[in-house]
Amino acid sequence: MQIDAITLEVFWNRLVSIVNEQAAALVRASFTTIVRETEDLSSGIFDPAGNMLVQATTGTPGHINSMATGVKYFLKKYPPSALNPGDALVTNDPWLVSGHKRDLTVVSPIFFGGRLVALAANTCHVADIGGRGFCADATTVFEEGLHIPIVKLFDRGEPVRPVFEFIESNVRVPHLVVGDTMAQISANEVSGRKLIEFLKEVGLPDLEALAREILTRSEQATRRAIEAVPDGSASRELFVDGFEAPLKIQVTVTIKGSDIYVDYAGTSPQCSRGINVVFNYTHAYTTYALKCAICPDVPNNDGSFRPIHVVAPAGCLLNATYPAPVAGRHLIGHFAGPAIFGALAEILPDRVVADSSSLCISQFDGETDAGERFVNNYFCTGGMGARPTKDGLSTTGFPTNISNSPVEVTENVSPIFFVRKELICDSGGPGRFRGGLAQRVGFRIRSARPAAFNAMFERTKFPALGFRGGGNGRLAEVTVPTTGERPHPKSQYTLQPGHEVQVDTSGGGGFFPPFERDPLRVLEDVLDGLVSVERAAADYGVAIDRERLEIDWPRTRALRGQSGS
Amino acid sequence: MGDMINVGIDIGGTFTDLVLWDSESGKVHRGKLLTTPADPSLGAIAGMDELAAVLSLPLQGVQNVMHGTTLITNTLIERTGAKTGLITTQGFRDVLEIGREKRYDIYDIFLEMPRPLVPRRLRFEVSERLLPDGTVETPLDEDEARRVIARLRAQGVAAVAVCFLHAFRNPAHEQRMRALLQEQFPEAFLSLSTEVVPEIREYERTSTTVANAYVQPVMRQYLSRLRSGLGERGFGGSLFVMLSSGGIITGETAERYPVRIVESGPAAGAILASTYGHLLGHKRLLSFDMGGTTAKICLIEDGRPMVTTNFEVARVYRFKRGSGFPLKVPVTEMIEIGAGGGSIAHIDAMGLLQVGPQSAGASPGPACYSLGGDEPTVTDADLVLGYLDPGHFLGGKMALSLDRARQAVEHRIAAPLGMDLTRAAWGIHQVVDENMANAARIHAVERGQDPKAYVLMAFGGAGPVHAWWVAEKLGICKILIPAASGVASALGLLAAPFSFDLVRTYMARLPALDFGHLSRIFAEMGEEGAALLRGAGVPRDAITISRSCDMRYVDQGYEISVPIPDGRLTSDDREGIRAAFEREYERLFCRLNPGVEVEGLNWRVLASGPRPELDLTRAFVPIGRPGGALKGERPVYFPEGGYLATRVYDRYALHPGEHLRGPAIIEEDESTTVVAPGGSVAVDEYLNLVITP
Repeated sequence: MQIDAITLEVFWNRLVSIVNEQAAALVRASFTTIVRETEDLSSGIFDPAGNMLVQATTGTPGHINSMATGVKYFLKKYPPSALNPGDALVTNDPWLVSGHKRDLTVVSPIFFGGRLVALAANTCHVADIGGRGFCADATTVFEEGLHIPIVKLFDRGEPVRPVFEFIESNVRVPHLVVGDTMAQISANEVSGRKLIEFLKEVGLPDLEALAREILTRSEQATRRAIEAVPDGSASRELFVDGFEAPLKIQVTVTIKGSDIYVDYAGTSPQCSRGINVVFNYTHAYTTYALKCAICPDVPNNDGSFRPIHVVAPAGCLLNATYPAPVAGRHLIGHFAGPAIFGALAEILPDRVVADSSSLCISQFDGETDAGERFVNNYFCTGGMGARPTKDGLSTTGFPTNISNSPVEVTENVSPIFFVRKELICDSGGPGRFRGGLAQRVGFRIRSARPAAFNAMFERTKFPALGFRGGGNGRLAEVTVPTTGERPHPKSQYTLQPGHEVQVDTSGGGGFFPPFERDPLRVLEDVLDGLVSVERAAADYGVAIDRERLEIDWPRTRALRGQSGS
Repeated sequence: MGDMINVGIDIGGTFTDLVLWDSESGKVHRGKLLTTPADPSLGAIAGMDELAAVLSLPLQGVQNVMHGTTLITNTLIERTGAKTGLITTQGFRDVLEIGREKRYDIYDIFLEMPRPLVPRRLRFEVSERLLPDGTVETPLDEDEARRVIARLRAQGVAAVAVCFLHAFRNPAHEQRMRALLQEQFPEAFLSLSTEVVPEIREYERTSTTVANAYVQPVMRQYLSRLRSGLGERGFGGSLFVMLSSGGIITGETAERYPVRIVESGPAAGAILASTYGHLLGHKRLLSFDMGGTTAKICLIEDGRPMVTTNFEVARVYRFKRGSGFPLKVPVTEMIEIGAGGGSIAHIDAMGLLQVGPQSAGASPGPACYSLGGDEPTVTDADLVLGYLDPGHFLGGKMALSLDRARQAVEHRIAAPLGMDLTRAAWGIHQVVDENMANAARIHAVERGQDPKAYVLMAFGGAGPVHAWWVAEKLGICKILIPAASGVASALGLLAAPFSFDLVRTYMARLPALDFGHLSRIFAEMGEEGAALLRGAGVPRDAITISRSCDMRYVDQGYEISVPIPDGRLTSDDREGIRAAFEREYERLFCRLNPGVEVEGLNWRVLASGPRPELDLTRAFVPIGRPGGALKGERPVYFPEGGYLATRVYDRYALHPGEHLRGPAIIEEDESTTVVAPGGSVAVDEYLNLVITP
């Protein structure tokens, strides 16, 4: 069957709406703040060969793009002949999907007219998976909790009880984990039902013709966008805190015709703690960053990945081999974004983002006064890097994309008490366009019992760098002000009752020299307490009269080395 | 109620529509004039003058003026509200700016977030803290509070919003703050989060409270101008305002909660649809209002539009969810689609045809307006296909250029896609229809409804042109084009019941529910709602109170709305409430979660008065004699057979009981109804067109 441009547009919109419904059902039926408030998830529809056709408009790149490459593994183990209506498959194998055991991926076959026509899949972060909890302390993947190989979770509509029993008996908060797993199943059922209605309505026997058309056109559109970029090659190396010692990420991006080649040769070897990244995840953030820079408007699917070729040496930090510990893979994996943007800055300077903060996760694991166990994963962001034409967004995740959980909601579901949650003055990297600001969050536990605080923080040693003369963002930091302690930013710390642990996220890098920033915009930032009077003078060369809160123009001209004062 | 004259005034972005209904004659008189954006009350008053002159009727004779306006939305979009300050809990003044930390578009690295309505320099903190159960962790530091008030005053703010953490569980600190403000800064407008929106989630609550404070002075000034203007002309009746939820409330209440009237115009359109649904016995209506830049779709169940409290205003990108400010107030649940008559068709990076959301607006307008626009729009495609008559647009007041329309579609769409002109024009039409149908389908399905079960009521300039195909795609087999399709919102204002929504958050698991407490909060809300309605003149015994609760499984974060029985509640009601929850949950999510406890969160009351007596049987009078409506014939495109010779009728000359067969075109001043071959049209007693396949 031939599908013309208009019919395709109509069908395509319909698929997008079906998969958005799938994501909405998952969020609405979820039991944890990490899924329903933070939306740490993805959902998509795949063709029977495991190619991703369409994804929901919400979700994180780490989940979306790694699921996109992961569904093929399910089919390898359970080919269509081994699947029945009402089945649902599950795994949390880090090497097959999203890089750590804390994400469960559920894949449900969709049958129409007695044939497998599609697969609905979604990935989401679970409240707990046993083991050491959500931290980077492990030295092998075995310590990081229950491993679920690809197995059937539902078989012809019936739950496979032993699988649920294994899960329930290995996790700290079984009701939340099972509740979310059921929400995952529901979500796939919702989209399966809609997809069949769609096929019936438009009279298509399957998705084959549609899939071919979507994938081909997406590939062509991506290739056209790449062709518009001049051929060339550029590299970047950057450093990250690591666990014990700094580690290096090195990337070379080569654009040749309508293909892009990305090579991570030169990156540090995998390390002994749980910050190693599986290749799927590296691939996910690499394709994501390239798409943002080169073809943000092309649908994200298997076709649009075809012109992009990513390699990383086996055994390096970005292609860790089994059984390396990987729980905190996002800590390093997210740096694929800045690495790519840094390299592209030479080739496509007007389509990149200066270095951004890294996502900061605080997991609390403890007991209430009544002896009830609680586990809460709290995500907070720092500043996004500045853009070549705009300031960076404050407290906004990039390249990942998550929401916070409201203070009132978190305090209602756990004994966590927020002392503050506020922007940090002077944390955005100075620049003609300023980096986004970081935030400070203070936590206490309202319980007489100590609780485990698992920090997962990067950029405590290496700031987000500014681009093309822009300044660096402020470093991240974890402190306990009452005792003066500085807990390890990637390890477990025991938080005693009555004490506050204070986490500062990092700021985004600036873009272009700060002396080029309009002094009036610097004044606005000072009036709002985003930049101090001192830093306005020192970083931006703008003198502000402290009393009258006005620009002292003669001094400003002097500071900026301009004549005519 | 005796002889009564009511006037509905709907002030939209372009036009101010007026409708006067005289209960004695039963007639509806219409008025339409350009909106006066600088002071919208001027246009409203001029419209009243015009109507009064035409009818030789003094304004003393008018009992009630019902009003809907875009003033508040525009104030928020254009940021022309008052200088506003915000007082928060110590450590949390940045809640408003930090927001939810998420990007609403994953791939757009140049995206922007809306700038907070209160800049950081006007956000102040005071020491006070409540725990999640409402108990006091840190008492309010009154000395500090007084210092903060002094600073706000010195800064010259006109309005102050107060939002403390967990205040919805215990309003004591916010109320004390109000007492201090009234004492020290009595001239400031004041909005407390516990009064504006006593619900959990601090960002959304702060955002809503701040927006309320920000528009309060504007609302006060506007209403007082309108009142005095009407008063000078002898109007001595009452002025009421339409809420976004579709209820009507006194001007005084609207002044306290202006954020509740953001969507008053569109809500009125939905109310008109529900009125017809009620009159004609259609339990389920899908109202479809398609204008120049957008289309709005709303589901009406049992004669009442659905209401949501998830609303966003002043989006940075109009059709991108997440790019605006959240407002947690009851709003008629509608989806807005960026596709109207002026929407521009283009070819995207994938080589696919897209329509909207960019719009040519009124200037330069569609190519056929000959005002300098050369991009093809939906109106251009409709003209090429013969649906519109180049000589009868806006009742013939504006000539359209068929040549320019053809050129635009040919050069921009047909040639690049390698298809002929007609196929391209039909393609534009089809993509728009599919967008509408898709949006309507998702909207229905998200609420667990099947769109096939609905009657489609189409109005707005472009609604009746597209209704046939939208209905076809949705599997809908009855279309209704109302008689007053050009002034639907204004007429809807006269059809709205008095009503007001109230809410209290009380989180409790079902087994632990304190029914004494619950009965008390319901009684309180019932009293408060009834008092507001009595203030609007609704007699006590005509007030109905309906209750609901937002419920969920413990640890879930999204709630579903569950009806709660009337009267005093006791522990005997527990199992009934659980069963009602389970029915609703299973309908939405295919399965239950056995063994997991259920909890209640927000307990709601809707206090409403009776539906007003608005007899529309004599509202409009057709011209001429039955059978005299045929105006002529022209070729019109239908995919079934190409360009077909199609009869064209004058809508105003159609009489009750007449029947027409498709293909047919029915023209009125503000719109054109298109009926494909095989369709049949009946004119009902209200002069609505009832179209069936």
